[in-house]
Amino acid sequence: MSEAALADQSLFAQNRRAFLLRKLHSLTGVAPVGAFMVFHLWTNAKALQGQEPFDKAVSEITHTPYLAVLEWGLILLPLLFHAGYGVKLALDAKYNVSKYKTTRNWAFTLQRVTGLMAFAFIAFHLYEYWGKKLAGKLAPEQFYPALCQNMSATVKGIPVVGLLYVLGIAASVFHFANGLWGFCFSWGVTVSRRSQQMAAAVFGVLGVAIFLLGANTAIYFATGSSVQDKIFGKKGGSDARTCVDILQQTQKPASVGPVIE
Amino acid sequence: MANSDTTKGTGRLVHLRVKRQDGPDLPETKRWEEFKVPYLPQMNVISALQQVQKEPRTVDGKDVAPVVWESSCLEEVCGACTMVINGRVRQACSALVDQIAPNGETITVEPMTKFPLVRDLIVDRERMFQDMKKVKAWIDIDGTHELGPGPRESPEAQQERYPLSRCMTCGCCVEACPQYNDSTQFVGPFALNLVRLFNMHPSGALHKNARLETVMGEGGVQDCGKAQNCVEVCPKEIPLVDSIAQVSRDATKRLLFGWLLK
Repeated sequence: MSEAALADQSLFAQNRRAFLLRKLHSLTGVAPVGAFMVFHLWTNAKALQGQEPFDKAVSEITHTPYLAVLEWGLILLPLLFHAGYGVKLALDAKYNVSKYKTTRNWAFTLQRVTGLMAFAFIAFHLYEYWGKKLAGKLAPEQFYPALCQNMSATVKGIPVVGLLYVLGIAASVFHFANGLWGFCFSWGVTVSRRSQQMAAAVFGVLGVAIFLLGANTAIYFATGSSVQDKIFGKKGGSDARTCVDILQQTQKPASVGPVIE
Repeated sequence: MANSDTTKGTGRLVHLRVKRQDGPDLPETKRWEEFKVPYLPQMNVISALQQVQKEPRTVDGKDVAPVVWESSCLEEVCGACTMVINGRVRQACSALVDQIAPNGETITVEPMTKFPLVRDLIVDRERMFQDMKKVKAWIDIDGTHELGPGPRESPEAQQERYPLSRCMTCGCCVEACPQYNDSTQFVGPFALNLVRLFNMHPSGALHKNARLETVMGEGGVQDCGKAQNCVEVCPKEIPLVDSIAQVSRDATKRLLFGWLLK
């Protein structure tokens, strides 16, 4: 290839397809998919204040102009591409962490394992709420009671769905935090080993924080009280309806939402 | 070694477990064979295999064809004797018996898994040489006319480049790399390191963009999965991860800004 021919290389040249796809995969993981996840977990945390603040947040989102365009363009299509191409990447690797047990090789393996876990979890989660909302089976104001009942439903005393959510959030957040580290590497932000180690520490702390943010809401729905309530005791003052109220009202949990017996 | 016998004929034995196969198209002959050979002072895996060759008889007393392997320099600069020893890829010549089996432990020896098998411990590393061609791992001097003296090189740049030039194409990095396999066309850590090496060279830099373009194609730098096994197993301690990160940065810059500038 002559230098003259190189100058004609356009951004989307045919031979760069694999490179572009991989870059797009990396980019969509950070934004919009990863950024949306953080926003979503933050909004969910309003549930800790009771149903009214949560419903208000949900209502604000459902009344956003061009909601369908945003949902499909900024969340679902990027997510679908990221997930689909990610499955190909997970299948392409030849794992050898049993032979070469380094931290980064573990991270490499876990990145693909948690990616597949997050894929399964998000598909289940979308079916349960977004799918039912679209099908008209679940109105936005029914989300809160449905979440309370669904996630606190126990099998032999264990809140299975609640645990599934904590696990799903853990997998998604690990995938996001380690993905940010990988993004910085492959986009040429962290070139030196030292900067890579610093990035690992920063994204590690960030990941733990995001996990706690997300898991706390799931724990609240599953048990009726958040982690801080369990430690410091419940602070009174709010009149908003909580999960405890809802579960007391409906002794027989059959009115809304799927129930696991 | 405090408890090792260093004299010949004291009865100390070296226990080898070798993965064998009679030919490339004979997967049905894949098998493990065990050998016990007399210990010699300063023995390495190559000299242990030489002892097997002298008297190829397994521990069960079965006479077998001698084990075949490749080796050349015996001082860890040619890369020919690269194999998987005790589950880890390395050169057999620098795998000293006193270090890897000080108390007579079994030493497992296998061929590398990322290349087509030729026989026993010999593999065909052709893919690596194709990878080098793919990334234009050379400096273009056609020799048809006098070019004059090359550009001057600062000692600093020379210091940075020298470690990168120690690559002997042994295959350790790609053997340990989870991304270098039949499902991908990944050129591998060593080839990306060569891109950095030749792009840093004053004359090599004249074709910097052509080289970058090769690693932005199928099997290019994007296939790095960042498992970083390569740098852990490289016998020449080449900063492979730094090289991949640098090439990644250059390729990203070219992708993002190249089309804006020209």
